[in-house]
Amino acid sequence: MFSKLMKRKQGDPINELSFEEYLSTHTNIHDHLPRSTISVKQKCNEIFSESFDFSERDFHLLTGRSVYICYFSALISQPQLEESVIKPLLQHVDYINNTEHLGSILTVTKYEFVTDWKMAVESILDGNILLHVDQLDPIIVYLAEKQDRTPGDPTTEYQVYGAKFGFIEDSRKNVGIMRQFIKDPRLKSKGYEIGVVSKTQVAAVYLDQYCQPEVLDHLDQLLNSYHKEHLLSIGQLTKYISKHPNSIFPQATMSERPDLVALSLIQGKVALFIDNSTFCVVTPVTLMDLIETSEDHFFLVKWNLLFIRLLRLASLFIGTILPALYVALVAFQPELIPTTLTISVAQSRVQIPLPATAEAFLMMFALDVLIEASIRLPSFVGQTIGIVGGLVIGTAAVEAGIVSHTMVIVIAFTAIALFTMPSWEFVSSWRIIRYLLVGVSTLLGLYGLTLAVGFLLIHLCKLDSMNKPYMYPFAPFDGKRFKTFFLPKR
Amino acid sequence: MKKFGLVIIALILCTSCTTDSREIDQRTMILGMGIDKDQKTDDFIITMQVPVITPQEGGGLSASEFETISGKGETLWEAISNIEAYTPTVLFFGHLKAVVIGENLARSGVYEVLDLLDRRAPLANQVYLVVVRSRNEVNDFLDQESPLISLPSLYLDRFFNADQKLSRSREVKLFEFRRDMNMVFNAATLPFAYNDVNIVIEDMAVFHKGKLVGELTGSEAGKSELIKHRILENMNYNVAFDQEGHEVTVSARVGSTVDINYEKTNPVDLTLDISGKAEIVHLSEHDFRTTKDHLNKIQEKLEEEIKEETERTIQKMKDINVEPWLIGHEIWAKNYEFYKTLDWEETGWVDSNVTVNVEIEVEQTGQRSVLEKKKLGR
Repeated sequence: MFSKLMKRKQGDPINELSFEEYLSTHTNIHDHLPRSTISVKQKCNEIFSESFDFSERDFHLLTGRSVYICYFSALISQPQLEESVIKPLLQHVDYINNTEHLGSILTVTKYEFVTDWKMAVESILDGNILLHVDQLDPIIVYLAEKQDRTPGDPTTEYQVYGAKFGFIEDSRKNVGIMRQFIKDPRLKSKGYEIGVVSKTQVAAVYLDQYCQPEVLDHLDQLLNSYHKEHLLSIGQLTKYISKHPNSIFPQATMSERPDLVALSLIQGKVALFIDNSTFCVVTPVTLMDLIETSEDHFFLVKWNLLFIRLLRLASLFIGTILPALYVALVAFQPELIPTTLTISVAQSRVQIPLPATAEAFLMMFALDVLIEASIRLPSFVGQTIGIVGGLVIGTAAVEAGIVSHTMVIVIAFTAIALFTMPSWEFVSSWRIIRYLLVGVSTLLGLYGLTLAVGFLLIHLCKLDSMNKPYMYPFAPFDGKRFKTFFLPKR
Repeated sequence: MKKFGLVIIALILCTSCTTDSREIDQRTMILGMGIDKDQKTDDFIITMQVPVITPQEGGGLSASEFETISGKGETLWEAISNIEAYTPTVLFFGHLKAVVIGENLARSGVYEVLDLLDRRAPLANQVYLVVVRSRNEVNDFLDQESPLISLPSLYLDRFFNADQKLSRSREVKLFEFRRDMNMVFNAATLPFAYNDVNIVIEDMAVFHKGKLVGELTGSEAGKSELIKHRILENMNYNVAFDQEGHEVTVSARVGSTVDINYEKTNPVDLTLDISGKAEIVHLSEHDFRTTKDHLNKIQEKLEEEIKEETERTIQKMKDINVEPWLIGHEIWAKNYEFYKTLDWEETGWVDSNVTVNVEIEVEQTGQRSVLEKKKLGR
C-alpha cells in the first residue's frame, strides 16, 4: 500500500528543449565544418548571435592564409591563448601547410579535430577554443579555465578537530581533492553530463571493490535516464536518485567536507559531485550514517565516540518526542508525572489561557521562525535575532502569561537536542515529525503517540536507500555492525 | 488507497479506548484520602487533602498550601460524590499517595473500603495504607501541618520511601495489604500513625478478616517484620551487664535474618533460627576493653533479649489467634496434605510449639582508638 503511495511519478522527457533542434535551424549539426574560414565565421556568428561574451579573432599570416579563432572570453585563459596558440602560429608561419603540423606548433596539452558542428558548439560552450586556419581542418584547443576559487573552510559543517577544508564549485577539482585523501587506483570517477539545457557535469566517485556493483548499476541507470532540461542544484539530483521521494527522510546526505566523504567512500558509498555546487551527495545512507560525522573518529579514546553517539541517539528521541510527550502527559495522563513535578507544572500553568497543545504549537512555530530568520540573515544580524527572539520567547512570553515556564524548558531543550545531529537536512525532517507527533498527542494522548511512533518505525524499517535498508544495522539486525558503530575496531 | 482507508477506519475505531483530554489545571489533585466512620450516625466520613495550586515564583509549595475537604455519606461513594460537589474541577486520584483509615473504622472492618479502592481504576495499587489512632480524628490528622514537609500525605510518602531505619514500623502498600488478606489466615498488618505536635508513625495494627484485632508495639513491630519478611536490618538494642563491679550499658544495632523450619508433627513444631550481625554504637564506660570475653558477654545478652522479644511477640499473636506472618501459608503451599491435618486457623497456630534459636555475632566494635591515652613525653 505504502509503495503505491510513495511511488514516483515519471516525468515525460522534454526533448524539444535540446539545443540540437535549435542548432539545426542554422546548420545541419552532423555536417563537417567547411574549410573556408569565412563560412565558419559566418555560421559561428549566426549560432552565437546576441552573445556579447562571444569573442572571435581573425588575422592573416604572413603567408596570406587567414586564421579564425572563436571562444567565450570568460571561460578561457587569455594569456595562454596568446602564449600557446597565437604566438606559435605567427612564429612558425612556414610550417603551417596541413592540419597535422598544427600539433607540432601549438604548445597546448590537448587539441582535437572537429568532426561536426555539434561537437564544435559543445566544445566552445565548454570553454574551449575553435581554431581554424583557412583551407585546413578546424581544431578545438582545450584551454578552458573555469571560474573557481581556492578551497576554504566548510561553512555549514563546523567541526572542532576535522580538516579546515571544503569543496569548491568545480566537480573535477573536487574529485582531485578526493584523490588527495584516498591515494588508491581503485578510486574511480564516472563522468556524466546531465540536463538537456544546463549540461551540468556530474561525477560519480566510488572505491572499486568497496562499493557494491548493484548500487553503481542502479545509479548509472538513473543518471543516464535523466531527461529534464536542467540540473542546477544538489537537491534536484538527490530527489531524482531517491527511491522514495515522498518520504520525509532524506535517502542521501550532502556534505562539503572531503574528510567525511572520504570516510563514506571507504564505507562503500558513492559520492556524486556536481558542477557549481560546493556540496556533494553521498548515497546510499542509513539512519545511523546520518548521526555520525568523520570528526567522531578524531577522538583519542573510543569511549568518547560511544558516548557522543549514544548522546546523539538520545537527543534524536528527545528532540522529536519530548513536546508530544509533554502534551500527552499534561492533557491525558498526568498520573504518570511524579507528584511534585505535577504540582510544579500545575502551578506554572494555572494562569495560562491556552491549552498545552496550543502552547506547544505556538512555541515550536516561534522557534522555527526564529531559526529560519537567523539563517537567512547575515551572521551579525542573525545573532541579534537570536538574542531578541530568545528574550521574547523565553522571558517576555512567560511574564505575559502566554506560555508556561515548563513549556519554555521543554521547547528549548527539544530544539537544542535536535541540533546535536550533524545533518541539517535530517534535523529538518525530524522537526516536521515533531509537529505531527504533537498533533497526534493532542487528539489521542499517549495511545496516539505510541501509535504514531509505531507507524514511524514501520516506515523507517520499510525505507531503503539504493536498496540498502534505512534502519540497518537495527533492522535487519546485524550485531557485529551494530557493535562497531558504537565501538569501532582499532 | 482502499487499504489505507481501511487502516484509518480501523484506527479510528480503536481510538474509542482513549479518555478525553483534561489538562492538569482542570483536575483537583488528591494527594491524601482519609476514611473514617462517624460513631453516632454510622456515616462514612471522607477527607481529602488537596494542594492549592497558585502561581508562584520559582515553584514549590509552602506549608499552608493545601486544603482538606470533608464529606459525609451513608456509603463511601456517596461521601465522595458529596465532595465532588464542593470542588470546582473533577477529582483526580492519579496522584493519591496515602489512604488513612480511622481506628474506629478499622475495628469495625475495612472490607468495604478495600472494595472501593479496588474498583476505582485510577487508584494506583501503590498507595500507602495507614491506620490513625483513635486519639486523632482522621480529618485532623490530614489537616496537620508538618514543619518538615508541606503536605502530610507527602510526609507519609517520603517517610516510607526513605526506608527509615527504625524498625518500629514498616510501609504497607494497598496491593500488599490485599495480598496478605487473601492468604490462608486472612491476616495482615498496617502501620499506625498519630499526631503529637509532629506526625508520628510507629507500631503496627494487626488485621484479621478485615478487622483490627490487635497491635504490635515498639520492638514487637520489628520482630513481627523479621518473622514476616525473614530479614530485618538495623534493629536497635540496649543491653546492660556487670563489668568488674561497674554496670556497663551497650547500645548495639543488629541486622538479622531468620530461617523458619517445621517438623511434620501435630501440633506442628516450628523452629526459628535467627542469626545476625551486631555493631556496637555506644558504650557507657570509656575503659571498657573490647576483649573477646566481653564481646561474648555482649553477644549473650543480645541473644537473650532478641529471643525473649521474639517469643513475646509470638505469644501475643497466639493470644488473639492471628498469624500475620504467612507461616501457615507456606505450609499450605508446600505441603497441603499436612496443612489439612493441622486445622491452622482454629487450633493449629495456637497449639504450635515454637522454638527460637538466636545466634548473634558482634561484627563491628566501632573502636578506633583507646580514648584515654597516657600522655607521652613531658
